[in-house]
Amino acid sequence: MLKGLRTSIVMFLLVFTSCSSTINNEEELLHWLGDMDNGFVKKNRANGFLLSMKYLPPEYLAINEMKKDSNDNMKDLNQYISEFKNSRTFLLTISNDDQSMNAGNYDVANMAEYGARIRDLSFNIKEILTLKTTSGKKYKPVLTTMENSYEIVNKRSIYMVFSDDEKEIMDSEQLDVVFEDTFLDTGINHFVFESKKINNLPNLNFN
Amino acid sequence: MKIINKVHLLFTIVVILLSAYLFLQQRNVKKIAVVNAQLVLEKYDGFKEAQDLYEIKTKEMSETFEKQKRAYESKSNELEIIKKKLSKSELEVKKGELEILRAKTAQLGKAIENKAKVQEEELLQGVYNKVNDYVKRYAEANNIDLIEGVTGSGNILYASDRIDITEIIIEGLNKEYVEGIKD
Repeated sequence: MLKGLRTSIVMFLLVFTSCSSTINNEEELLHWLGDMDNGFVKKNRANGFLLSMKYLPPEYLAINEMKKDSNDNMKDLNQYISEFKNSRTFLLTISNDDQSMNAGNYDVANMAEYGARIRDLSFNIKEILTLKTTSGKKYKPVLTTMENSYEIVNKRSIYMVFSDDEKEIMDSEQLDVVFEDTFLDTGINHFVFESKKINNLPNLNFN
Repeated sequence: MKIINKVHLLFTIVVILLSAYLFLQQRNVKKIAVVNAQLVLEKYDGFKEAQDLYEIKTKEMSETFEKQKRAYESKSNELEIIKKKLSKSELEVKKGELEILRAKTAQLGKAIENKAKVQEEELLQGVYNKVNDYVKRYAEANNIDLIEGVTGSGNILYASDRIDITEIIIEGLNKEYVEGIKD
């Protein structure tokens, strides 16, 4: 009798703790996305650099887009989400233990080299970024942009979007984003995401 | 009875002092470990992938050079065949053209060689930095004061298996290469 009751309580807790996972505001969403246990962030380290790759789900991108449009009607959220649901967007953030060092000025001797580095990070970085699916197919990003930090912080952030017509990227069980670093001496960096994790964002209940 | 109590007290004090001494001794003992650096590189997936990538890149460059070399050889053979039919001035022009092509081919070979060397250094530097970073974090996490890298031509003649952490390092590096680091 007692054993049966205990099983029922455990089952109740299991079911309700997994189903009651709801995100109520943007702050909670950011916190949830940043929690490494949820599988949306993968990190690598070498040569004093910390490379953090974050998967940005369509929901997050949609909310950002709504803010840009000054639209706070959450009934429009699904419409915005639909614009992003056929692609995968990631954000690569590069920082260094040394506060004066960043991806823009590492191993740079003069202004000309600095300009070339910024151009590389802004426009040529797609040549060294690849997304590998479970079947081994490789894709280059269809879009990359470097966020302008105005040298305020020692971080550089690069957005990248991967998309294909065959839905291979969307259907792949694993997504391995490979950064073949040629600037910072951190080598080949793999960021492997499990689709079952990144497709499992809790319900958003923004009011 | 009193004597027994005194002996007991004395014994307890001795045990406490001895424990404290051993504790302090233990704290002062420096932890040392050794790693077979060559084996780590050989078994590290990051090194294997860097090698594969280097081979792909050099193969592409090598094909470009071979194409240019074949063009030079073809022109050279062609000149051998037709040179008897050419006037002296025509032969001089053809020889000049061939010399320019030879110089260009040699220049391309040199440029490719330099580029391949730079790429090899870049790829290896990335691998070394990854290994060094992991070893440093491993040492800090396990309170190791010194990790010696054993190489074939190094100066460590003997190290006990008890302080050899090569396999642990390889396993950790390969796991981290796929899964990334934990916060």
